[in-house]
Amino acid sequence: MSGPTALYTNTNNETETKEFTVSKDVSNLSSDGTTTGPSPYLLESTNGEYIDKDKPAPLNLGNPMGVLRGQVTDLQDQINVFLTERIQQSKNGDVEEIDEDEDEEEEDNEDEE
Amino acid sequence: MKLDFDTRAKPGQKWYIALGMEGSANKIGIGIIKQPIGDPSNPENRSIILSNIRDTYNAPPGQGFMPRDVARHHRNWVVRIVAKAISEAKIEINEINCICFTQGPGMGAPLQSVVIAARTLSLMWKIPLIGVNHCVGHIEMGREVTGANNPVVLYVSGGNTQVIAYSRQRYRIFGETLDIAVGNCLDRFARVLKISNSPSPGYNIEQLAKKGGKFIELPYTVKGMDLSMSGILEFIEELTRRQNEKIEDLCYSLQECLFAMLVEITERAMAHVNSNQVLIVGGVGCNERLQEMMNIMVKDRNGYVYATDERFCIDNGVMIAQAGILEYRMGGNCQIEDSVCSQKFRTDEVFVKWRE
Amino acid sequence: MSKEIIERVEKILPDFDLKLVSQGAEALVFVTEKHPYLPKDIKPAGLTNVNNFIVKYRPRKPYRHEKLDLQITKSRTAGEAKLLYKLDSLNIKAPKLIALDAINGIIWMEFLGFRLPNGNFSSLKNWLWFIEKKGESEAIGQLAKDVMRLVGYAIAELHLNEIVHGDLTSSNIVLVKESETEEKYSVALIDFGLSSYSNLVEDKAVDIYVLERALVSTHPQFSELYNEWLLEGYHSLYSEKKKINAWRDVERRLAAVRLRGRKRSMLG
Repeated sequence: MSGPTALYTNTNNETETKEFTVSKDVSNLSSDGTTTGPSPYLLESTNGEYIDKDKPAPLNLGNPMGVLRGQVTDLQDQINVFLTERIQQSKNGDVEEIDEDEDEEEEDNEDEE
Repeated sequence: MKLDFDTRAKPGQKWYIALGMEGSANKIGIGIIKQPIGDPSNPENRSIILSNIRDTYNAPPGQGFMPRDVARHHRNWVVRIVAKAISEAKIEINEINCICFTQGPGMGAPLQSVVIAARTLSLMWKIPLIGVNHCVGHIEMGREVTGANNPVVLYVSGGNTQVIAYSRQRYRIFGETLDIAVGNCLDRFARVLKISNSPSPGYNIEQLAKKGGKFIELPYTVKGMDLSMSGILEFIEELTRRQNEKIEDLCYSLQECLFAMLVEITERAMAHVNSNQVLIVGGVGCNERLQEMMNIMVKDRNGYVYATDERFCIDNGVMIAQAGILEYRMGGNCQIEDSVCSQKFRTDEVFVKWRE
Repeated sequence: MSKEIIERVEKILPDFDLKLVSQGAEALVFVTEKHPYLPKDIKPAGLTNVNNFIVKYRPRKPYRHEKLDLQITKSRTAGEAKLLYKLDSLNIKAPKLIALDAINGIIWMEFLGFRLPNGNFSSLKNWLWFIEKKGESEAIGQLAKDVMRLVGYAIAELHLNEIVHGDLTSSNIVLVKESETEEKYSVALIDFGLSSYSNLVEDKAVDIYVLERALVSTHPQFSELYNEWLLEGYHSLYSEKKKINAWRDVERRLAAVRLRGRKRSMLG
């Protein structure tokens, strides 16, 4: 059973790709990703006193769907970090052009049953 | 032409069940309805609401909501709310005929988070998907709940301000805002006053307005069938900054001015299409003063106003299920690759197969 | 419309014997034989019809705040009266202003038009229906062509003076008899309740588009030709005035408006 994967392709330069995968070890998975929390705007505008009532429900790692949820969160974090870096680079002029509405294609290999 | 609503019914089937998923703005709503076979316009075939669950994302006072935080709210709540809607409806998953979702218009990120959930459920449970126009959802739910058969529709919410009438299988837009929506105008005014966003800025303005009584003149901008509200907002924001007027009077005057404009263009549309029914839908439609003004107007035209309460006026999943089930029964089926949502999706783009 | 409104206008204008001729969302239009201030034996000068006058009444709207209502009624009634006066001074054919009572929302104006042989009022709509009944050769005959071109010409006159009508339909265009012996008509625009000053190409194109749509829905059989003639007439004044670029702008924008409909596309 392999986990979900994602493939990034720069549409301006199709040879430039990056693949995202998840680790086999599921013990560190979480539903609350490092990049999927409240927006910095929200945290700043409330002077750090924001009470987050919209946290995701915790994972149930005893269930394949629960594991998948954690893996997708992990994948999403990796993609967010990658894309944020690229946007930053593009602002600094380090890369030629970035296609901002890049599709994150998640390949869901999980058996749904 | 007689419409056949039951080409998809299996032998012995007595009703259809639809799950509706709405998340075009700051509310996520999941609703389940059951509709008997036969002509749905027959009063005896009314839809039965099995569950109607909703959760609202409220920004802190003085703030507007960021699409990213709204999308996060929807993403993190959708599973729990779907589960609650199903358990409250006391149905089995295999009884659901279609999964209906809001395809637009609305805010991009929140729309997308709910569409992804809808696709996942559709694939996982092998149930057909139906994409629904949010505005058409409001109209169909309003017609269903009130029994208004062919009304002029005033659709007023945070993102929309339109006067709509049905003609030749489309909900046609007769008049609309040329700039911001009426709900948006109220929300932004509430932000200037730092009024709480809970339960909704508009509700809090309405309560303050009840305590006001002095009418302050504001620009009144109706242009034919259309209206414009950005000038009024700018004007009243400036008045607020000067602090010469009481907040209650400002709220009162803003409501009086905005609603008079809405009632006026509704009356024009009624004269135009020769109808004496008005249906008010959308979040701002809950406002009692708006309903009252509309009632006075239609009295002069010997007509009738239909309005729904907050369960249906405010965005909800049931309305998506209602419009979706009609589409489903007329053969609708949205393939995954066609289920892309759109921030811009005009009411008159929908071909209304279920009406003559 | 409720009886109370009629009673209210009769209270403002007692002894005028008002006959209701049309009612919209905004105003009621009456005909009366009594001039607002001239004694019976003195006939007004400069009017085509000295025996009948139009009274346009904007009733109170009880749903809106009294102060707001007065503000709107006053400014719209006065605005329309000013526009009629302006049109007259520009020599554009439209009802002449006779009297104004802005506070009560009343305008008196010239009665334009006549009774068609079938008894109906000579609006463009009624006239087209009348000739359509006579058969295709009449419906798209030379007279129809001349009239439609006059309509286009009249709209162009308005637009070249930076005025848009705002509500052009075949009921808001009236045929006026130019001769008692032969079928010779001029064309006047009426009901300037939604008019405004504008030199925007968009507003002009929408003005024409709204009329095109109205013709398609009320005269579907021949609307294509009618619209073609209408634009010919419209174009001809622009040519006369050597405003070819302005014409092209309107023509181009009209094509765009036809594609998207009256409404701009907007965010949900």
